[in-house]
Amino acid sequence: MRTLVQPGTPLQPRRLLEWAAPALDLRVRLASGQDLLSGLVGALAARGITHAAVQVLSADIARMAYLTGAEDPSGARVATYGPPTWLAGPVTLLGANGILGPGPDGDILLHCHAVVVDADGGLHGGHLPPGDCLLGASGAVALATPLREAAFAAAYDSETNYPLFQPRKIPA
Amino acid sequence: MSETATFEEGRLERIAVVRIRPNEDLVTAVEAACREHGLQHAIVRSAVGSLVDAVLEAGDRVIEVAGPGIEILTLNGELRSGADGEVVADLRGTIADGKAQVYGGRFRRGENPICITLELVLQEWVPA
Repeated sequence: MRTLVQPGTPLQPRRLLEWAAPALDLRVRLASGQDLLSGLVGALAARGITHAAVQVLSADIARMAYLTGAEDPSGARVATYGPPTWLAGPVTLLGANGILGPGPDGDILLHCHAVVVDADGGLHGGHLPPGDCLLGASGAVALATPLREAAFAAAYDSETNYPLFQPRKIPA
Repeated sequence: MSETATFEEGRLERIAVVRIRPNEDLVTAVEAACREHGLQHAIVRSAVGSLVDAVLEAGDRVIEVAGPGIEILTLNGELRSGADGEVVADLRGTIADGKAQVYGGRFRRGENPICITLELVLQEWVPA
């Protein structure tokens, strides 16, 4: 198994785990014409939910971009994102997982990776940049699991030189 | 008479909010996190992350994908503790490499090092 030398000193512990309390899940239906990620962030925020695990169960997409990984030519990090790949619709989402939580500046982010099939039957997948996934006619359905007592919040990670979601206890 | 289906009644309880740091193996690190925190049985609820390189199994095929920066697109599966108390993870999913090629399969133990991070949410399965 190949490992990579990260820009910063390895941090301990290597595995982090915090316990969150179970809560009722929410099935969220998004109407067409909005962005998948900002639509979910906005809909959940309106219900007071800013920390969640999200599964997108279905989505019809009119146009979208995704990013895949690449080596970082600057050497500042072991990997970065390449340029976006744009897909014209109709694109059918097959699955997507997301983590909702506050980003480095406190704004709520949905970190989401998806696998989709394009209009010609080709498979694609990667990181979804916010604002670049316009929902088509039948919109999207997602299952959100709110995280209480513990959740993810972004903080600068000196090992990887990225701001990353970290498990955190949430004060009641 | 052999049984064609077996059931286990139970419910989903506590939620584990997990991060795995770089260069740790996906399967063994998730098992270790469960062992360290007394999580015996669990299912994957959501996961977002990346791998240095990936090795997947699909039937008799072994799919080797070179990174770095392979994106984990979807992750499904469960963790179960056997009679000996050892937690074993069975994790399957889809990935995309740097050329946006998509692959799927079962993640082979010991051969899927985390690249930047794995953000993972597990939910405990408690048999009745």
